[in-house]
Amino acid sequence: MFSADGTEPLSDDELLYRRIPVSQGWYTEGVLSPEAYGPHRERDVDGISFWRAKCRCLDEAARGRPGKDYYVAVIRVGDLRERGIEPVSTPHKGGGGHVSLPALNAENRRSPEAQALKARLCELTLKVEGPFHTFSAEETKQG
Amino acid sequence: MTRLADPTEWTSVDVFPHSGQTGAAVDDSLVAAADHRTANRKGWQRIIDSTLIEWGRDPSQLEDEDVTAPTQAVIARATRLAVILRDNALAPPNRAVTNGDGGVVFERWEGPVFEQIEIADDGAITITSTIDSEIVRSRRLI
Repeated sequence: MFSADGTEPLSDDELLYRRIPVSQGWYTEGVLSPEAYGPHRERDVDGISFWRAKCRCLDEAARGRPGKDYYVAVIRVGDLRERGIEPVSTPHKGGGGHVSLPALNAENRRSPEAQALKARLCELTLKVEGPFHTFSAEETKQG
Repeated sequence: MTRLADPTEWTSVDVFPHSGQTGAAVDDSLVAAADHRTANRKGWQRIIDSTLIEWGRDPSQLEDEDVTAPTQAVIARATRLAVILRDNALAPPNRAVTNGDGGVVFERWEGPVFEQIEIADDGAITITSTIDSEIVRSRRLI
């Protein structure tokens, strides 16, 4: 029996969310840039990050730096697997439901393989939601 | 390929090879070719004015979670390259974005073709072309 804390195995019909900062210009004119799936040089050692839709709503998945805006790209687990891309549940300090793509990580981020994978993820993206604003403490105070 | 180290000598074949803009076609009229070059220059100028200069004025706007923003020096390098390609009237990109890793990327798309010129934070310049998300070309120019 598996736990239901967000680390249970991923099913094919599950949706994953990836946060995309508006500030980088990665989603304009309805076209998503492959850079939206680029690994961070320090934080994505285990692969780029997603959140399980069953564990986080869009608003929560979009939460980032206070005062900034974020889109959320939606992608289906089964679509990844059909292309041989395996997402894995990974523990995260931000809570349950975190998923990584080990095939696209900090170490290989500049490789042609990574570039091809980023382009493939854009193709598999079902939709992009948002933008969503992350309120700062000051904004919240001002109502 | 030392020739490619000098962006002033780059052609459309080097930059956005699938833009279909390899200079004036044989049957192009001189006027049409001139219009074409003017439109290309304007396209680059739009990117320089609306994005690169704005970023250069305040690079802190690019600081965000899970990204490494380009420095002023990298933005300046990308702007210098954009000016050279503008002056050569090469096909312009649709937009400039960051690469999230300290670099800047010019992106151009048309139908199934998606092309990128990446100016990395270490100075490397790489051209990548994909058709229907398959890489058909990836080449480091500098």
